[in-house]
Amino acid sequence: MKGEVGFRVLAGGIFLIACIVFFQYFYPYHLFLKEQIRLFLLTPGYILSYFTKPASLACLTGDFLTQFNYLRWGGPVLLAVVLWVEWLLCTAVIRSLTKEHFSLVAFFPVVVEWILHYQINYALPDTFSTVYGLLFFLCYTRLHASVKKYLIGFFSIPLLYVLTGTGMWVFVWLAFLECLYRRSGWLYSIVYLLVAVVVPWLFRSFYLLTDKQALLYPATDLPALVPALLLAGMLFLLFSRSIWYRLTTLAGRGVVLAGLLGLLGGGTYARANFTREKLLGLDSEAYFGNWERVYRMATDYQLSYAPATYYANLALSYRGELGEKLMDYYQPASYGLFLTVGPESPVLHIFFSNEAFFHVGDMNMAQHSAMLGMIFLPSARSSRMAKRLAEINLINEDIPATEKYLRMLDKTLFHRKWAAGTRRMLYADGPETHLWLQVKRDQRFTSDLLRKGNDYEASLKKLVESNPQNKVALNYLLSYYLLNKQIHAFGEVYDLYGKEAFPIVPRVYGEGLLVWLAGKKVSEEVLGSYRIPTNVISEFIDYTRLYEAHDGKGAPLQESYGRSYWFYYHFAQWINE
Amino acid sequence: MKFLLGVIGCVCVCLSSCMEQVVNGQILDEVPLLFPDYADVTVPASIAPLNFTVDGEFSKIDVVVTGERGQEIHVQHAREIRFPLKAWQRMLEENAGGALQVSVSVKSDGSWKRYALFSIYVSEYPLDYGLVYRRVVPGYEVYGKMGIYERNLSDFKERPLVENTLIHGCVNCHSFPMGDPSRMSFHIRGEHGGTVLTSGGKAEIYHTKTDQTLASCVYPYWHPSGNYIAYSVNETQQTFHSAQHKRVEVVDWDSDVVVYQVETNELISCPQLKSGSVLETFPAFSPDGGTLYFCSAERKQIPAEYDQIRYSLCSVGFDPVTGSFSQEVDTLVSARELNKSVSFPRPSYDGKYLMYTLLDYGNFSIWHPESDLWLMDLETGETRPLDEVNSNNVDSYHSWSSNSRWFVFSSRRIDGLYTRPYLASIDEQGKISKPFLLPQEYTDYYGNSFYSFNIPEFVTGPVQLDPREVEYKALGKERKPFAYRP
Repeated sequence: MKGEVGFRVLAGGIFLIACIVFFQYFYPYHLFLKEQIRLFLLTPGYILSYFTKPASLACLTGDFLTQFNYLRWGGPVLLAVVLWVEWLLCTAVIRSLTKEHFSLVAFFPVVVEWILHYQINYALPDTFSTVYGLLFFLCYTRLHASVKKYLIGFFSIPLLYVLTGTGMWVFVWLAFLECLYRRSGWLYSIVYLLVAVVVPWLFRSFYLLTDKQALLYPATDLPALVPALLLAGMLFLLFSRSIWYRLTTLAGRGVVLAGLLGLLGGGTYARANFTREKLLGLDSEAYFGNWERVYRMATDYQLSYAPATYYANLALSYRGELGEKLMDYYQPASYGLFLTVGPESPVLHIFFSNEAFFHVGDMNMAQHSAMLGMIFLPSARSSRMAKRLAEINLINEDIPATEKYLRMLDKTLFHRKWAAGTRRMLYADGPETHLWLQVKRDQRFTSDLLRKGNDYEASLKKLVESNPQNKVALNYLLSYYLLNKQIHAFGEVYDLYGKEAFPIVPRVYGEGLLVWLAGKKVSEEVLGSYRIPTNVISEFIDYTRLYEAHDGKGAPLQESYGRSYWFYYHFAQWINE
Repeated sequence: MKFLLGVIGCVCVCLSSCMEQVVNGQILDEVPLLFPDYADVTVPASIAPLNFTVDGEFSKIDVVVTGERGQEIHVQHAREIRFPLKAWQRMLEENAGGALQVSVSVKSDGSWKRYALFSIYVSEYPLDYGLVYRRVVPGYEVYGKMGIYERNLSDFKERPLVENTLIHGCVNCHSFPMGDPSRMSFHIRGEHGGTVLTSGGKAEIYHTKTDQTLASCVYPYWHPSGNYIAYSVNETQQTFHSAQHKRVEVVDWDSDVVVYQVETNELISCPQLKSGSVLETFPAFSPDGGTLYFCSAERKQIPAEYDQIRYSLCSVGFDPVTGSFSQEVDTLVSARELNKSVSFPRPSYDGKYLMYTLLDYGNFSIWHPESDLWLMDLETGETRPLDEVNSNNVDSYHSWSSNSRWFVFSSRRIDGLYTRPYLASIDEQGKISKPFLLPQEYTDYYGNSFYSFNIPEFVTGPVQLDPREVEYKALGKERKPFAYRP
């Protein structure tokens, strides 16, 4: 017995540490995002709103705790503890039915739960549905088998659905297995199953859910039921004395351990999305304002993916190096400057899309994108977007609108301080006004322009016209032209604003200018007026020589000039993926 | 049961005895700054409790409401005042036609302050059963989570009629014939698009675009007989301003007005309503059914002259027996003369007034902060701004109650971003009361919401609509096509 307790403590401890380490060091940004795409308010009205859909208790608990993902280490520790509790409950359930300790076996459903958490749309409410289902079943098993017990079980099914959603299925399956094990109460267990099938169907009209939503709430996909199904399946096998006898041997434990590790490894290989984790890393660090870190990460990752380029470009812009290092990164035309937003766009793209507008100073489009970013989320609420909307209205000097979002954030656990700081800026005058705020306000348009949502060129041109000192917008405009190979427009804008804005010509702009000036066949005197570094001119001459020598073939130029704008200009082709 | 009631009674007595006495309070001359602002408003006797809070820091708020006929409600709370529903309903019923006096005290820094009394006037005019609105995030272009909801105005119960998660699309433009809940029209946009028409709880989905019309039907308005629905067909483009005080501009490239005859399943129109050089939109029938009001503007170059498009308020005669239109078009409000633009003409059902929105240009008033409500006296032709209800932000989409003594309108006066429904009364003399925000159980409801309340429409009873039927039919492929009668 002592040995078993020690084993459980050890196993549980290793699991906790492994889970924390994995999610803190290899998968932290998914957990950060899960907090950002929710907004939990500590108000009676908001809390009561959870009762308008099933799984109210599970969603309430899960969403409340997800707030802790905002803290570094918060998400991994929380998730590990919740999964550990689930494991304890699984162990207790197995014991209550088989009278044996199968601590190791009880890890199987928990490992599946771990794997499910690799997905963005799988979160703590889903896990709490299972946890509450297990907990209720354990309480249920404490009751003596009698009509009273079965009646309690019967009437609990709709209540479980209302409070835990899929937790109802966990209870019903386990209650069925209990009957199987005890070889009594068959009729009741079948009635349970039938009631469980009918309850979501009956409640779906009240909750206004589709059949699938009603069956799986709060989850959205069938895999959410796998942990409970796996537990039920294992219990079914463990009823066989020969199987449990084998599992209690050392070899048996070894097999289980190998199975667990295989499941975790295989599940991680198949389901964890480390590319997305990198992308979310770029995004979250941008949200935290760690632009140097975004730059380092983008440089290390070198992802050939428009949203990754989007953050690389933003980081370059924050460092004032867009014109210098634009071509050091994968550039899918101008799709890495602004993310396209439409009904078919991935939710994450929509969520990210406000950053560039906000950065260049286009506050109306930033607001539009932030609102879209929020409404396309499953919860249609986001702490991060609420903060962004507050910032936008702060910059626009719209006090009522800013207060709207700040008052919401006042009611959160971890964003209230931010709201208080922002409110100080909102009401500050003169010298107290934050420098950042002054810069952002200076970036704004000074006259009106009506444009389509995706007319980035018109927006950037107007921003630069409004305020030629807005170097961020100027860099974006010049880069926009370069990446779309609109070399004439690039040259004209550079002539108008760039000559003054850039005393030293950034490398990529210099390369672009040479393409433009060569096309115009300008005199040496005119060329000299652009102050393009001589080494760039020499390289251009060399590139042109090689290009002509190789009959316009790209491969021989790739090594020396693959990262030059000239190479991009000649060879980059947009392939619609 | 008696035991249970006894326990509840004891708890209530205990709770009321826990109320702190307001003693030695400083008496202030001013009326408290309330949210929502319910000071001196006129409400129907059936309205849900006007729960409110007071602006500023305090640790306790104490409110005593006294009716002219002697009743009293005393409530104390730490954050906001929430009146008990039954006591509130009783008090309003007994004081219909009279007034309530409200005394508000707040405790801050350990001492009480008592504000000057204010009144809540209880109107004798009854209000319809409920309000139907679309709750949607003002995300403008594409849709996320949204739906059409029915709110019982006597309490806080809200019922979803249809949510877009059921049908994977966007739902909009709900309309009822003079608030009749047994007949409804609304649109579904997206993959499973169509126009839903209900009658006696049965729904049918229609494909409303015909070869002869510009686009699918929008902006419905029922004929009082229920035999016709006027729609407009619009080719619309959404664009964005760069100026910070403006946000979105929705511009019609082209638009016509058509009328749908329910019995024959046909769309009818006339050259006066579908001129190539003119944009026609926002149709509305007069309560006698003999006139069709609509907005009409000269077509301009878009986007260059988008701010030159100004809609006049026009009308054309309509014969419901033959489904034909008169040749003459009358201009009731001239955009050229006013240098303003009219949208959403809505005649009162008693035929006395026509309410409309006036804005600087264009027709999508909800994004125009200068939008105000105006009222035309249909007997005298006089028209005036509704200064009693207008604010310095958007005041737009409005709808009349079935007895024409109340109207509801959308306003962005709180934060400039989200529209909220306000109600006001108009008596026989045309006197209009101070508007009040649709009450909610919790005063931070609006503040904590990311949703706008679009198209508030009164209904005289619970809407007869089976969401399951709508879901089933919307997800199916069958759409009954509208025919077009040349």
